[in-house]
Amino acid sequence: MKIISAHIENFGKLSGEDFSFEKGLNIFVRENGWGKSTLGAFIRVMLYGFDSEGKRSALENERKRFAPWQGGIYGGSLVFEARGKRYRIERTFDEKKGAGDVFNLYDDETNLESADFTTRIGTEIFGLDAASFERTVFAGQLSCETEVTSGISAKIGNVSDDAMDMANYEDAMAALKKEMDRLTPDRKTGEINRLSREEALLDASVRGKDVLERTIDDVSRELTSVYDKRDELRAHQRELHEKIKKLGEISEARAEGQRYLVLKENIQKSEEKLREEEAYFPKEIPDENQIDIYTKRSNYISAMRKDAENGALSDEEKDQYERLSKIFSDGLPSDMERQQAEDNLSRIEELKAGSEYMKLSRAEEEKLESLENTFSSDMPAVEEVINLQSAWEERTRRKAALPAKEAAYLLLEKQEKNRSKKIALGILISVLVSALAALGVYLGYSKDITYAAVTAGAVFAVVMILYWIIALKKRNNGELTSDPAGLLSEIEDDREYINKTRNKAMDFFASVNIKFEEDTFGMDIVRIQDMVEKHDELTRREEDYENALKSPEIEKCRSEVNEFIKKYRPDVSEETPVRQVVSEINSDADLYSNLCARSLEAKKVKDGFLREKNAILNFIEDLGFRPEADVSAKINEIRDHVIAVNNAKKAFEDAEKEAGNFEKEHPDIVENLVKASDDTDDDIEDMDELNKSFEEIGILIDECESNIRSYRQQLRAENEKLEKAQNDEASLAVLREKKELLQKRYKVINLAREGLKEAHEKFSARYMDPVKRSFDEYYSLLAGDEKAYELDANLGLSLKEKGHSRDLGFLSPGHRDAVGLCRRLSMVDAMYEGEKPFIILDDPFVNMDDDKLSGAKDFLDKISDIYQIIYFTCSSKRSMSGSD
Amino acid sequence: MQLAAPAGINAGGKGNVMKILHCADIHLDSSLRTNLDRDKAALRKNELLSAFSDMVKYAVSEDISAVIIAGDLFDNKNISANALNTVKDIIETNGDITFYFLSGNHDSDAFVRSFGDLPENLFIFSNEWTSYRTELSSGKYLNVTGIELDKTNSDTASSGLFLKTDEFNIVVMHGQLEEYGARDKAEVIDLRQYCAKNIDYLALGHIHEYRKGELGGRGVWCYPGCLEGRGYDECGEHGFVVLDIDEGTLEFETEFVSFAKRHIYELNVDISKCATTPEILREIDKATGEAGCFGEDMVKVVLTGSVDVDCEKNTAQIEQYLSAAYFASKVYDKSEIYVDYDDYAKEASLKGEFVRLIHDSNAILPEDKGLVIRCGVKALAGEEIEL
Repeated sequence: MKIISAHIENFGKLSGEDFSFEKGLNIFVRENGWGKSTLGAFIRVMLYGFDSEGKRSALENERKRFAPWQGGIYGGSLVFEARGKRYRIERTFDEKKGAGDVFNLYDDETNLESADFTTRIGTEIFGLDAASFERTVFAGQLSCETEVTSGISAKIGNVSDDAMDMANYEDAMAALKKEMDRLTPDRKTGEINRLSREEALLDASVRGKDVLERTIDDVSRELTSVYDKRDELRAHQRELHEKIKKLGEISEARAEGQRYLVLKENIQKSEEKLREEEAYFPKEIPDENQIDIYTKRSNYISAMRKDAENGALSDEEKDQYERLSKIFSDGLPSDMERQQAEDNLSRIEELKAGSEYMKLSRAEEEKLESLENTFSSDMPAVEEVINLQSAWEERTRRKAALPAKEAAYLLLEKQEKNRSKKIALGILISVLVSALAALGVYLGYSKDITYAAVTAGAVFAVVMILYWIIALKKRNNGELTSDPAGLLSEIEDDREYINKTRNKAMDFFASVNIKFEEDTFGMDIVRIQDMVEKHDELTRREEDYENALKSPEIEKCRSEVNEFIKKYRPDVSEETPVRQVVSEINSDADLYSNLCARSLEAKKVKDGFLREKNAILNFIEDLGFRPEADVSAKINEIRDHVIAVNNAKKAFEDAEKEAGNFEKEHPDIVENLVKASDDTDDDIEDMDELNKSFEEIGILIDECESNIRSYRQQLRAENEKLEKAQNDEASLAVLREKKELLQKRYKVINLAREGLKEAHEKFSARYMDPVKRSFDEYYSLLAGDEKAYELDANLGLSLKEKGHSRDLGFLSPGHRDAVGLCRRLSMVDAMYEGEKPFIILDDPFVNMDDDKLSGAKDFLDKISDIYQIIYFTCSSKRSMSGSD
Repeated sequence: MQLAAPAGINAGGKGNVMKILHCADIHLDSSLRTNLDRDKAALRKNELLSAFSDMVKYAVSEDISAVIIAGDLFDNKNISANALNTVKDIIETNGDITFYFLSGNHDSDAFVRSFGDLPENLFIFSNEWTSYRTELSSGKYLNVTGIELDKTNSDTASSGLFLKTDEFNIVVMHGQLEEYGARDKAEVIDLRQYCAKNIDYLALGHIHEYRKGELGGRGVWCYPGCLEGRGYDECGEHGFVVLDIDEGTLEFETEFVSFAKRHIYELNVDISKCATTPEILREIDKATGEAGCFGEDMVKVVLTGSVDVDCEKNTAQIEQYLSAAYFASKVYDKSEIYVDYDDYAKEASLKGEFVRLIHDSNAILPEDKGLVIRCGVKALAGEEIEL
């Protein structure tokens, strides 16, 4: 395609402008702001219409952006050559919306409207959408870099809009590989491999199926054979059975004849027996009921006799009876009497028991006896002991005070002599003497009552000392008067009392046979007092107990009991315990009563016995027998004979009846039966042989049955195996079906994988390689360096340095523009194999160094040989040819 | 060998018509594992037994006098106790019906032996001609004659058969008609040899589908087929045949009674117009609906036709769908992949390159090319590799 000319009525800042274009390179060198980009945009919009119409901003929204600044008709015309024809597009635009746009296409040579293209004329001519157009043939200012759109890919691929499958290649191959790994027959983890192993197992089982079937056929044949043999044996056995049955019938008939003869013989024997039994009786034969009655009566009198014998008194009892008859000659004690005697005895015991608590225990009796032995001569009264004890206490008191008194007396006596000097000494001595006396007394009386006396003595001594001190003080003060004579007299009295009391105590101890010890007097006198008191207490309780046993009630009861005893046992010794005597009387009374009753009963029984015996004797005589002493034995003998007669009669009748029945049942064969008995023993021998054969065949049949069971078991087992093999066969078929499917799948996937790999290589070679070659050529021309670039399946470029791919972003802007331009041209080369499009380059070398511009010129020269190039620049340096 | 008239066979139940039921190939105790899992096979096994029981109940309710079992009552020589006891009980408790049992190539003598003494209403055959003669109410006679074919007698059996022309003659055999060729160890029956033998009804067993044809001379031959289909090779209606014999004229009619509880279908479903699995399922539904499939049936679907290489077809989903819908199902995908090579002739893409390459390959079988292309295209599209 080639643009011939363009007329811009109004478009952006351009208005009323006309442009002509040549084949090859068309350079427009204009200052910045002239409208170079607007011209480029005009050409694009004439072919594709506005882009970004949805944007609000005037900058982004092309319709707004290129609306005429000065107003007027918005649009223009474009003359171009395409597909061998020359066309003119006249296109005006509504400033606000596309609905107001006008598009007309004319055949520029005939000036007639053409319908060869529509408003989508750009797409229709280039086979590219607007976006792809911009990324290839339209290199706008500062946008040399480009991207591959699906449209570009499609264009490069010539047909498909779905050219992105190259990107999926690796994933697809991986997926196929994964599926093949899952299925692989070469590894244990593979499904096909697993099925193969399973198949081998099942196949082994199924291979045995034919053998099993043959075995089953063999066993079945054997089984049938055994069945046949068994059936034959059974048939033979049935024949034998028939023979045995027939012989059995003959044997039975013979037995019946024998039986008839026996029956006849039985009649004769039983009749003889009957006559024999009847001969026992001299007169008539009593009937069985009658004899039963007399049998019972005879049994009864036997019992009566035994009762009479049992009821009669023994000799000892008779003696007792005689003895007791005398004792109770006046009659037996009444129950009331016996009860009264018992009650009295009980009352006496009850009353005694009530006083029992008073009775001395054994230990107490011994104690009393011991005390009485101790005080054998004279038992002192308690008061006497207490008086002696009091006197002894007084004696002790006086004895304790005596040293103080004596000291006081000496003091008084010296006072008289040395009244002022020695009073203190006297007092001191008194004190010391008193203290010593008290200490001595204390040491002498270490315990019990003497302790009080010692204390009293000590207190007394202290009181005396105080007294004397006070007295002396009074005397010193002229208030106290002394009387030594009186004091001496008092001392003499005390000494006498002390001696007298001691003597008295000694006498007392001697009277009670206890050794007197002054030191232990206190304890001894207390012990004596205890003994006396204990003796008195025990003596008193003994007297009380004896008095209780002599109470009037007891005496009354005892008197009544004695009277009872005297009445029935006047001879009894008084030493015999009363209760024993009463008990004996009662016991004798009971015994006597019992003996009397038994004696009376025995007499009654004896009288009855004699009456019955006479009646039975009469019965025996009536039957024609002589009377015998033992009537019971006779009656029993008669009874046995009656029964024997009856039994013989019944046996006779039964024999006759049985023979009669037999004759009725076998009326015509009696003689034949008898004749049958004449058969020889040969039949019996045959019978034995037959039975033996029958048994032998039975054994053979059992063997057959056993074999049948065995074969059936074997058949069952083999059939189970066969069933398993059949199941395995079914499973094997399913498995093989599945395996076949998987193998097919594996094969197909493998083929697909290999095919994809090969297709990938071919595709790359066919479409990517030319693009790459083209790129390398342009780049070498434009950039002049040796940088290596790599083209991927998406036609993306990356810089390859030291074995690593690097993003183009790392390049300088000039290099990036160069790469972009070369990439565009390489793609355009690949995209348009037939009619070549025009290419608009809007100052693409702006970022390039000046030393690279020669390369740019070469580049432009090169591409302008192939394409119509519309090149805009604002710099004369980049004008390349220097003129437009 | 002519035997006395069986006491068990009754004169015609209604009017002067005698009804006889002809069945065969019940195959009790079949394993059934080829197409069914263990549980369903066990269930189906019981159903076979129930079908036999129900058939006899039908005979009772329809006043049928005799039941002819033309072989293969059992599937194997080892009969399960359950099957044996059930069949024995059915025979013994239906004394008004005469059972004629002829052993087939699957049967053994275990069944007959199990009785000890045969019930009065059970009649059996041997490898010699055995005939049971019954006097009809009209005074005419009906013969049920049979022979168990084996290698020793199958060639010469026909020559030993003699039947009276004025009697109604039913002949029972188990074997394959020559036109179908021998299979499964069965003996071959050459129909030509049984023409003009005065056979009115040749009651056959061995072929598992109902077939009937004219027998030269007079009469017809008939296979009743099996009572219940067991696998996908036994599709179609299954049941037994009932003969209505006019006792006066000895004319008769036969009727096939469809009796199977479950029907077995094999359906070819053309999915050429389908682009997705749901569309395929709709086609399958359409086919099963037209065939009259029900949930209790066994359905085998064979996908045919050719689908586009981009067709989304999930066989596992189809299998699941059918499995949920029917007692048992199978899916065979025999559809081909259609590739419009013109679409790819100029496509400058890896896919286009790949398609052209496979198309031009001599190393890949033509029938595999579609699958290979589909596989590669699906992989490139990042989709599941569903072939």
